[in-house]
Parts: sequence; structure tokens; C-alpha cells
Amino acid sequence: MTRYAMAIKTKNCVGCNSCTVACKVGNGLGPGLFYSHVKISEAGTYPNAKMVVQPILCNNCENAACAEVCPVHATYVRPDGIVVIDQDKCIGCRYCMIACPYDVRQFITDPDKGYYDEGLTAFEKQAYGHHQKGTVEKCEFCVDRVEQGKLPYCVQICPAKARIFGDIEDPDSEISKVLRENEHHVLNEAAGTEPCVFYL
Amino acid sequence: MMKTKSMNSKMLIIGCVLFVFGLICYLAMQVSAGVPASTNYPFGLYLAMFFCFAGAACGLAVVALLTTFGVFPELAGKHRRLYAGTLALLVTAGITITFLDCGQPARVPRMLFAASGTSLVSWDFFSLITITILSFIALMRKGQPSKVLAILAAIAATFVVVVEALILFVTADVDLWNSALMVVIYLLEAYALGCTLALFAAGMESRALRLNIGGALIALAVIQIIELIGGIYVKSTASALFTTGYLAPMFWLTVVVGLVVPAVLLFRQGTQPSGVKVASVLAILGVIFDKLAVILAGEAPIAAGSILTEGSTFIAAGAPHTFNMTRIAIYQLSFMEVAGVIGALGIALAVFALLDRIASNDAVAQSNEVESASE
Repeated sequence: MTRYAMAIKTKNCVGCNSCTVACKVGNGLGPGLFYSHVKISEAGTYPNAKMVVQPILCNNCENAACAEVCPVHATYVRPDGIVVIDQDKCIGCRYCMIACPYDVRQFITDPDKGYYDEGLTAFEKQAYGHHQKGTVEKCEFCVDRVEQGKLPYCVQICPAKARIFGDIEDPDSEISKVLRENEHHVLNEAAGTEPCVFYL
Repeated sequence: MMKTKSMNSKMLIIGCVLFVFGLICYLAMQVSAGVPASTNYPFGLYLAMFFCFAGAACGLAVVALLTTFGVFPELAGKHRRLYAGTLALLVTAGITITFLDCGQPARVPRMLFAASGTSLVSWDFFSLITITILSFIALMRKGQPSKVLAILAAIAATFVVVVEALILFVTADVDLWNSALMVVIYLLEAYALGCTLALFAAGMESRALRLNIGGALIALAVIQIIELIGGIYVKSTASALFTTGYLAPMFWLTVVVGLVVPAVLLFRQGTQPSGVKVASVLAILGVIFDKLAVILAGEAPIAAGSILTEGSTFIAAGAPHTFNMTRIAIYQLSFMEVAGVIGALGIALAVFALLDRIASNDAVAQSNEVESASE
């Protein structure tokens, strides 16, 4: 049984936001929309202060709170573990946004809004077409690409090789090896959602 | 009778005007931004109003039950009016949540056939439908009120309020919303609203209703203070917002002017009818703002996490293995949200006026029948 997950080597991440941009371009995300972003925080105090860089994306949880609260089964967990949203079913109640302990869901308010006052560019017209106004979206590990045997945009673009994506049920996969050999943690473990994004 | 009819007509006209205003703003909003109740928070005033409409409807159903069992003698013979109010508020709640909350209102009927049993929103949807049907039957039923129907309606009403409290309660890791007292707060708020509206129906002359409202308001104030102290102890974001944050003025004004002052006025024996009216209006506003404060305080860190803009460096404090968002978003009330709520109030008034007219006409016809039979 396949179970997709992502491991992020935070020490490798340089906070360049290439993942953020690749995700936005690849998924056709307009102004203010992010499936993935990089949180930069300060830890410690002077003289031992340091900057901590942490990429944030949907954790595609095993016990996905968003799927549980969705009143119309629009959000569901696929057999391969990826949590997806059926845009044609979503009623836009946004309960999933509140239930998600990671604040990674986005409400599509105006899919026709572009970056330029002159209107949508040719690229934007093509890229933004699949969004539905009044529905919720999120990172789905680039499920279309994964089905074609490709890596998610953020993984492929990362210049520091900080992201590893693969099947954690396969003991020989790179992600399984990395997780076996390194200490790792998940975000907000107390929420009990069993996230599938691991931080090394 | 004539006075009631004239009041009813005025209410209908005002309701229609407010509804048309809200509808125009809603349509304009759909054409321009396309966001229902556009603010930087997912939920705001409109959601507080939805909970209040639904809560008040449920409170009225419970008051109707108590009236059936003789607890409020001043309301005897007015049970159909109470159910007219219940039904009007339920219709308003349904329209409010469908059109101001849902991004795709046309898909909401899907819930009838494809609802998820694990979602409390589904439970809320079906329990609201249940109490709407029961209230409609109770409204249309002529003659003496049915005790069985009143009991069933009150049970359904209580269930609605509990489910709506749990909708917030079950959200993962949100300050204040995860409080075990959330259900108690919702029940008290619903009862206070129901009793206050019933007090208007009773012409402000029910001592029992006044004491019930006052008691519920004081209990709410005490619980909110207990919540605050508990929150300060565990250093919750919500308690910080209520003590020194931007919600502090609203929170304390609500507790003092919206809960304690009206309670004192209602408890006092010597309060004039005009004073009771003022206290009742303050009580309704107090409950609305109390709900709003709880909703906003829970959402503040979530909304902050959702605000991401290009070109900005997103810096949030907190250890990397936690997800402790310490940035707080300030709720911006939008004109469209206010307009939507005004439109919803218009619907409540207009629907109540229409239903009350039906109930009154039936009552007159019934009394005429009784008179002619006795002759």
C-alpha cells in the first residue's frame, strides 16, 4: 500500500522561497494564494539568537481534521494518503479552514484577480482557469504530477535538496531511509492528526 | 387587535425595506468581490448573528414549552406567536448561513443527499431542518398547544444549540473554543435571547421572564470571567486579547453594559417598563457581542496565519517544532457584512410579520367560531 509523505531537512533549507514560487507558478495561484510558504522565525536571545526557516504546507494528515469536518465529503483522503478536495462538491463553508491545525487552506475569493492592473496576462488566463470562486483549496502534493510519476513542484525546484518526497510504506524509498536514520518531528503533534510532513 | 395589525404591517414594511437593502448590497458584492462577508477573518459578525438567530429561535422553542406547562402565565395563549418567532428566526438563520457563509450557496442542497455523518455542520443542518418542521406544525396547529409537540421542539432546539457549540469546540487547538464551558455558554445565550424576545411578546410584563433573563445574563458574565481567569493562568491568546488586546474594550463593554447592567435592571422590582425595554435591547446586544468576542478571539491567531502576501517576510515567533502563531490579525468589519446582517434582520421581521398574521387570523377565526357556537 502506497503512503505518500514529505520529509523536510530544515537545516538544508536556506529560505529562498523557490518552493513557494514554483508552487504558485505550477498550480496557477493568483495574488495572496499560497499552497506552500516558508515561515521564518527567530529563536533564542542575543547573543545566541538564530533564524529558523521552516517551510509550511498541507500536512496531508492520516487523520485529516479537514476531511472529518467537511459536510459534503468534498475533502477526502485518497488510498495513497493524499488529502484532496473535489472542487465540484465544495460548498465553501470554510469549516475545514478552521478545523485545520496548520492554517494551510486557502479560500478562493476571486480567481480572476491577476497581478497587474491591466488585467490577466496570457499565462494568468490559462493558469487560473481551474480555480472555482467560493471554494477552498490547498496543497495536494501536486497529485496530478505524482500520478505521472513526477515529483511535486516544490521538491523538484528546491536548490538545497531540502525536501524529500516518496512512499513511506516502501522501506527502500529515500524518504523511509531518511526518516529511519534521522531524528524528526511533525507540527502540532498534540492535534492528533498524524501529519505526513516530517521535519528533520 | 387593530393596534396589533398596524404594528404587524409596520414590521412587514420595515422588514421588506431592510431585506431589499441587504439584497442589493449582496448582489453588488457578488458582482465585485464575490466573497460572502469579505473580511480578513473567515468568520465574523455574520456568523455571530447566525448563531444568535438560531439560538434565539431555539430559546423561543424552550420558552414555548415552559409556557405550555404554565411557567410563564403571561404568555398563555401566545404559544403560536412564539412559534412564529421561532420559525422566522430559523428561516433567517438558514438564509444567513447559506448566503453569507457559503462560497457556493447553490450547492448547499447537496447536504440533503450527500451529507457526511462525521461533520457537525451536517448534524446542525439536519437538526435545524427538524426544528423548523416541528415549529411549522406547532404554528399551524389550531386550538390548545400540544405538549408532545412542544417537548419535541424543545429537545430539537436544545440539540441544535449543543451542536452549534460543538462546531467551535471540536476545532483543533483553538484558545477559548476548546473550553468545556462552550456548550453552557451557548445554551445560556440561546435561553437569554429566547426569553428576551418572549418578554417583548408578553408586553414587558412578565416578572418570571425578567428573572430568567437576568439569571442567564449573570451566569454568562460569571462564566466569561472564569474563562478569562483560566485563560490568563494558561497564558492563552484569547485571554490576552480580552485583557490588553484589541478586543478588550469590546469584551469589557459587553460584560458590563451588555450582561451585568441589563441583568440588574431586570432584577430590580421598581424598573419602569421603558427601563425593561432598554434592558432587553441591551441584553440582546450583549449576547450578540459576547458571541462575536468569542468567535473573534478564537480566530485571531488562525487569521494571522492565513494572511500571506507576496514580497513580505513572514516572521512568526515560536519554536519550530510547535505551531505557535503569536501574530494577531485585527478583525476588519466590512460594509458588505453589515449590509448582509441588516438584510437578514429584514427577513426576520418580514417573515415574523407574515407568520404572526397567519397565527392571529386563525386565532380570530377560532374565537369567532367559539362565540357563534356559544350563541
